[in-house]
Amino acid sequence: MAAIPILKTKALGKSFEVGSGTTNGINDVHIEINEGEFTIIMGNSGSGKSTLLYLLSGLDQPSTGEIYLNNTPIHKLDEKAITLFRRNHVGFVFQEHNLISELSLKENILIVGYLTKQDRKVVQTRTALLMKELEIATLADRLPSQVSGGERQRCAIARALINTPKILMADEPTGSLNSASSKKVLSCFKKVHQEGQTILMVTHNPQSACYGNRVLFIKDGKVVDTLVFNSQHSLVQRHEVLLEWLSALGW
Amino acid sequence: MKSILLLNSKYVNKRKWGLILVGLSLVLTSVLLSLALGMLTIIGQPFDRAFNTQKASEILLLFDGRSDDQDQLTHWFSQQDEVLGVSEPRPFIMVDAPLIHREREIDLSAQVTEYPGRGVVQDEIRILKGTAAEHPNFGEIWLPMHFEQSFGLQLGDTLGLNIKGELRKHKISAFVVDPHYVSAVFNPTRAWVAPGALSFLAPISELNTTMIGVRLKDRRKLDMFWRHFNASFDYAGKSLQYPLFKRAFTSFYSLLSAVLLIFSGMGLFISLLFVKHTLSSHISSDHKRIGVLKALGFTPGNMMLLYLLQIGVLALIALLSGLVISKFVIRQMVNRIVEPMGIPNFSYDLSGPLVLSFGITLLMIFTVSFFSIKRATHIPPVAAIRNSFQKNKGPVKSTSKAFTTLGLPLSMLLGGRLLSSKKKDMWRTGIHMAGIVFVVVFCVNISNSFDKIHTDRTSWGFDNADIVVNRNKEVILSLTHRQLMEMLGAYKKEIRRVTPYNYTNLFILSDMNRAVKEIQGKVYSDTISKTGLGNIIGKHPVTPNEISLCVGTADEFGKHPGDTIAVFIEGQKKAFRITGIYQDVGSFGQGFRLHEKALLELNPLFEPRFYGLEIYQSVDRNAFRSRLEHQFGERIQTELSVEERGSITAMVMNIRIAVLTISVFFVFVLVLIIYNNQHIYIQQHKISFVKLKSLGFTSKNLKMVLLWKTLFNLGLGMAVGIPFSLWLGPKIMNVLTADIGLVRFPFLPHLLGTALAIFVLFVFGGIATWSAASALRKIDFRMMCNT
Repeated sequence: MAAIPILKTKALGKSFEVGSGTTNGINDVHIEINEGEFTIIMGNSGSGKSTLLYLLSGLDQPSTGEIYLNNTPIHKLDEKAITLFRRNHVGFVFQEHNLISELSLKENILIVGYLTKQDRKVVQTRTALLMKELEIATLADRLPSQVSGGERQRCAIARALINTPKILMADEPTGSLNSASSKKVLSCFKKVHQEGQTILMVTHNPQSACYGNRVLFIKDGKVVDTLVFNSQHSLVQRHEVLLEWLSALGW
Repeated sequence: MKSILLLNSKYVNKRKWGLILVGLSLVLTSVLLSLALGMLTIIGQPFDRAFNTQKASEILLLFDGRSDDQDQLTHWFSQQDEVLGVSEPRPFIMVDAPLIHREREIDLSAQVTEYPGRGVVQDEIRILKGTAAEHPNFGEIWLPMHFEQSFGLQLGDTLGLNIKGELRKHKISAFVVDPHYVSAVFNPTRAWVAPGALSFLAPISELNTTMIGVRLKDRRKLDMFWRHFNASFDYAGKSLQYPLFKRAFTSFYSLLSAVLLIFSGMGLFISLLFVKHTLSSHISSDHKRIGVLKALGFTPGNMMLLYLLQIGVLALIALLSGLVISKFVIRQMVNRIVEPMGIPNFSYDLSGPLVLSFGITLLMIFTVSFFSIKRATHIPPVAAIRNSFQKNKGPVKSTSKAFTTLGLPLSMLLGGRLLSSKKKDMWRTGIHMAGIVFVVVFCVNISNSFDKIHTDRTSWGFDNADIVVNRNKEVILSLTHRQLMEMLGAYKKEIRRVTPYNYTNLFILSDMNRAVKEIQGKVYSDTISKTGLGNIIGKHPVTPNEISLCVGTADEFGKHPGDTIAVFIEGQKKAFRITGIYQDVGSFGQGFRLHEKALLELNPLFEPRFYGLEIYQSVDRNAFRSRLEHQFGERIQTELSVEERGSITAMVMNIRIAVLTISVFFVFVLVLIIYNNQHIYIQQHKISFVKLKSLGFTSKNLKMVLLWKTLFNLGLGMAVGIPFSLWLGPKIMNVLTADIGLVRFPFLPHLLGTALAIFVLFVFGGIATWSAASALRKIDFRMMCNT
């Protein structure tokens, strides 16, 4: 059975004004992400990986090109429409957890669920379930400042998943975590991916990238190569393959 | 220093809108405070100026020549060291019936007095409008200036004096400054006619009343001198004295200034909180920057100077602008006051109150700023650089029950949650709002209380009468008390109650049995409790030996219910037991109440002469009054109750306008505070809003969140401010109005008005939030990448 692309771009570009001129952040990007895939975007600092992720999620507007998310041309949507679209179709996990510091962990998840037209009881049940799955149920009433970085990030994942998005996007989700916390967070990603969640993750950490099943390498705003992991390989084996591939690309 | 100035200019530029709002609030506070202090300082000056310029007498003796000898009186006063001069006797007649102007009645009694003109060296009358003349000619009349302003009379108009049933028409040839009767509140007022004119207006046999003026060298010794007079002289007439004239003139403005002073105190408090909040917010958002600056070598003193300069320069500009505005407003008000007094180029010294207002406000701003900024000097540089925001010192557990138990809209839940997450901020802003709610609700209810003077008149000490009938005994076929009562009894469908009473005077005696003060009071024929009148303490007099005193008189003589007071009344000495203390704004707190039995024991011929008619609401008051006048003709005179008089109505209207203006001013302050708070909140929580946007909140969603946050905060302010206003408001008014005889202000909360005020505050609070929240549109997701 042919894979169904859930996210597709055509000649995607993003330029920024610098002084009197412009510079290209993203240039002529053509990618397709299939449903159920765990795709990783890698690249050096300033290569444009985060910019690409923001464009794909609809958080930022492209300068040129097209983006189809779940067959919707999101590049054509106005601010309100894209916000409503994102609300229902995209989950986003930031490098800094970006939890609302004034709200408890549970509230941080609930508010996103309440934004949609779902029954509140259903949202509450799902919140409890996600918190349990991500092992933060006992911290439900704590403020973000009162839990560890890994716990915050797991809460951010739960928040991103509360509306059962078509795609979960993550921008360096382990970037600010220690290795133990990173492992736990990545395990969470693996777990939800195994349940069928499509994931698109930006990282510069090869170890984190091994959790995915496809890696896109981006350089100077362009996708220059793609690596598909062997699904039978262990994390260690993937790591070796990845490092080899990266060094060939000048990493 | 240069680097501080450079940084300062950058900071000011960055926060110009927030600082402008703080500045506006300081301008408004400065205007209120300097206006109140300025008015309180100078309000008595125009009166004293006119009094001194026109050589007005501190004491006016009004007496019947058959009881008191004018030569003896003049001689006695002339011999006293304290006396500067005694005026020549001026005959007068009292015209109790309303004055007639173009077929309308002016409800003022007039003391029609002859003005001698030539050779007047005391109690001069100055012509403001009209042809200069030494005195009015025959057929002419001179009136105080307030007739033109309050009743629209013009030069050349005809004024009818109803004397003994005959209408004596006089042409108004001048409007004058009569320093004793410069206030429209004074009733009876005074009108001047030609020398010798009275003999054409009334029979010679009735021209017995005369006035003598006594001018003192030092008016501060008036009380002592008056006691000396009463101790030395057996005087049966009436007297009017300087303090009464002055109080009649200044009472309204003093009351207004005192109210302004209270509100300016509130305004100052709110502005100081505003300054503190703004500075604290700046310091919080500059937390990291302060650390960096300190690491670069800025000393705590430099940091203090940096922030103090921002607020100090702003405060100086704002306060000076406020002083300029208030100086202009005071000038307008004073012009309005001195215009009817004919004081050209009235100069006054405002420097004292303005400097005081400026000094107090500036000192308080600097003190509050100093303690707010001090926090910045204690910020450890390393910690500040590593943690750009101060650590949350919140509780270990944060409850989130509302989120799971209440089925409220998300924006409402989140608004409430954001508000409650910073309890200190919530309470600080809540107190700001409570202060404003306090003032607005206070203003609305005070305005209503003044408005209800017409329906709640007994609480003010006025009789419960819509129309007062004066039985005219001096006409042929005059009515007896019994006849009039029988005839009024025929109007059962119109009249709910008739309260017969009369006025009488008594002298309060000292321990040495010397008369120390003459006061006028009312003697009621009916049981007083039935009239609806009340007491502050105790009960009404019932037996012949009982009396109740008005609060000013009781205070002056240190009397309480249960005490005994010795008086000289109806030519006899008598001791009364005081049964109660009441208040009466109509008599400035002076007077007494007796039951008829007390008078009948001393004077069996005593009869009531006045009849307060309480009429049914459905009856047209003016039509019924005309009906009575038509039926009884010259045998009665009628007038509207005291509180319906034009001067009282105008005063009430002025007070209502003033307090409502103040409430509008405070609504404006509320808008400033909310706008600024929201602006600062958005700046400080920019990242939170970006996060919410990234989670799917639209700008409108976020605006709604902020709106609910404000409304909850305003609700909190109302929960504190409204009960506080309803509790403290009457107490404040009791203090402010005690001087005019109202120690218990008849405070009547107005439910609808208060509800409307609440609604207006919510609407304006909402508008301020909504417009401040427009800044949310500018929030960009890229801000998140930069953190």
